[in-house]
Amino acid sequence: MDGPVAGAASHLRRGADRPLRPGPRRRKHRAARVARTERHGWAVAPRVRSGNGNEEQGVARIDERRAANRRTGLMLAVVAFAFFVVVILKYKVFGR
Amino acid sequence: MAAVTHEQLHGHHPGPTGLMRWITTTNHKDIGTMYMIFSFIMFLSGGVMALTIRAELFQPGLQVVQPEFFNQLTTMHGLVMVFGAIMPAFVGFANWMIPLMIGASDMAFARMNNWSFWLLPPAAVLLLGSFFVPGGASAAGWTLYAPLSVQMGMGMDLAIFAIHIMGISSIMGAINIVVTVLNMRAPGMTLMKMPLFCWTWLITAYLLIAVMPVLAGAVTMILTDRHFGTSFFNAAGGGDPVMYQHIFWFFGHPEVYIMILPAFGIVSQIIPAFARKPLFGYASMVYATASIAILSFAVWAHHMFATGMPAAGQLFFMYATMLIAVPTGVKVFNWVATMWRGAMTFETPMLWATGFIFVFTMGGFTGLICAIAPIDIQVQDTYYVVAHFHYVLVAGSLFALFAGAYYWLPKWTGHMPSEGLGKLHFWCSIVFFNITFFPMHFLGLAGMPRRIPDYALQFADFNAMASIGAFGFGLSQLIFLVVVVKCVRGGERAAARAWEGAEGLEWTVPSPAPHHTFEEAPIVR
Repeated sequence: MDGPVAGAASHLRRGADRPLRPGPRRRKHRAARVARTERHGWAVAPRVRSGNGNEEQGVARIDERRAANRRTGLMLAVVAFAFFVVVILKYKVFGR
Repeated sequence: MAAVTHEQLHGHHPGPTGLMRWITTTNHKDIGTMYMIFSFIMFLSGGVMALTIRAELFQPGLQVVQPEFFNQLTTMHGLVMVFGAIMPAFVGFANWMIPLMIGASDMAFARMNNWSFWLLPPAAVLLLGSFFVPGGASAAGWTLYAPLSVQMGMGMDLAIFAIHIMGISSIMGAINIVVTVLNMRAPGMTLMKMPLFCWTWLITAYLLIAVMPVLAGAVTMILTDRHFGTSFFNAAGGGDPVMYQHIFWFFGHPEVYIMILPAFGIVSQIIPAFARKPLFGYASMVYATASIAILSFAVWAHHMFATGMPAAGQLFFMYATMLIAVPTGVKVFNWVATMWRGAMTFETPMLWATGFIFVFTMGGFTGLICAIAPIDIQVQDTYYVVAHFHYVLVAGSLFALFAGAYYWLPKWTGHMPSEGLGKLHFWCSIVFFNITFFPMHFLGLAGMPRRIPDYALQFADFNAMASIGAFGFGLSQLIFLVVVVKCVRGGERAAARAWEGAEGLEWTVPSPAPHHTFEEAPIVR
């Protein structure tokens, strides 16, 4: 399964310590982030959240986590907005 | 390379102080605290409205307020308590406790969390400020039924705008909670290892995302009927007022569970702690919570039996409603089974939790009675219904909130709450609560309609009793204020695990919980 529900489905199966599966865009972003980390040293590295990995993995992990958060959040927001629109349109277009 | 301080290393900056700290904070604990303070202020505001209503109803005739203002009070009391007090209070609990319980450093969207909260005060100002506009506040009841809501003055527009803002706040808060629970759990914290409070809030958040947009759609249609010439609900233009009721209650019934499921979660945390036993039937509690949430979408028309519907429709909604008693019964059974042969002690949180089970179950039973269509047609719009939903929402939601507050105050403040005052608060509340609301069952069965400022002489005695009880109940809540203030200012120091039988990640951090927790995610085994 891919797309916005991938993160949630994986959690349902295996909990939060699942391996992360970055897509191509994510991988590119992660590489840029790691490069920045190497340039600036501690400026980015302190954001490492998990103690179980080296610095690079940690930065990647937090990056992926944020992307997953954004995906799930956006998906839920779209669902909420769709409900709002459907309720009005249903009665506007079809009446009762 | 220059030395790196701990603050730099962990991305902490001194940050703004004073008022700006609270306005700009993205810390889940700060935001949780603000939610709870806000909700308590709104609780007191709604309480003053309730006491004004009860003062008017103390005896027959008109003594205190005019009928128009009375209707405004009943409407605003409902709106303020539902959207301003109960819901934000639970969101405050979620903000404070969910990250601590799942081992997350903060909520998933910290800035959005700040925004979710700061939308509420302007909405509250709009809602309460509507009393002062020409025509006064909305007086259509908290349900804002058409055609009244289509016809009223500017106060209705303010109420609609306030509901929109509070709805956006609720949806943002719900999205934050879902994402936090799904994506931010500590390694090893699988869904079925989560504390039940997190489970109940996860399901509640999905309910919020599903139904708050429906309410927003309904009030938007009222708004366009009022100002843009549409006729969704305006019978004069071919619209249908009953359709509004269907849409409203499609939101309204899940809303009841939005206000009670987190309460179930709080009670499910407290009872095992003071029975010193694991929660009986954890998995069945999770499935029961999900069942209640799913069934809540299929029962809305039991609020509308009296509007007239086909017999098949009545039967469907009657049986679907009665079906909810099954998972609810599972929960009550599991709480009692958890207590069974436990090494129980009755500190203040446990008193509130057991009190909750007792009075909430009474509210549940009267709900079952109201679900029976032929009976509901008799008691529709009488004080029986008022008694029923106050047993569910005051004795249910509010008592659970107090239970949770007493349970987690040590973690929030670092001090143990006063046992003596806490117990006094409980006993005063439960006694005065029953004096207030139990006679309302008799009033309703005798035919006293709700939302009226005057009544026939035969209802006088029970109304006087209810009014005395209401003032006692209202004053009792000031004890809670004293307890909290004392707890914040000092008192007996709380250990990290403030209660002997308490389990969970939140009890592994010091009391009071430091500003930043779980920056290194704990491993749950």
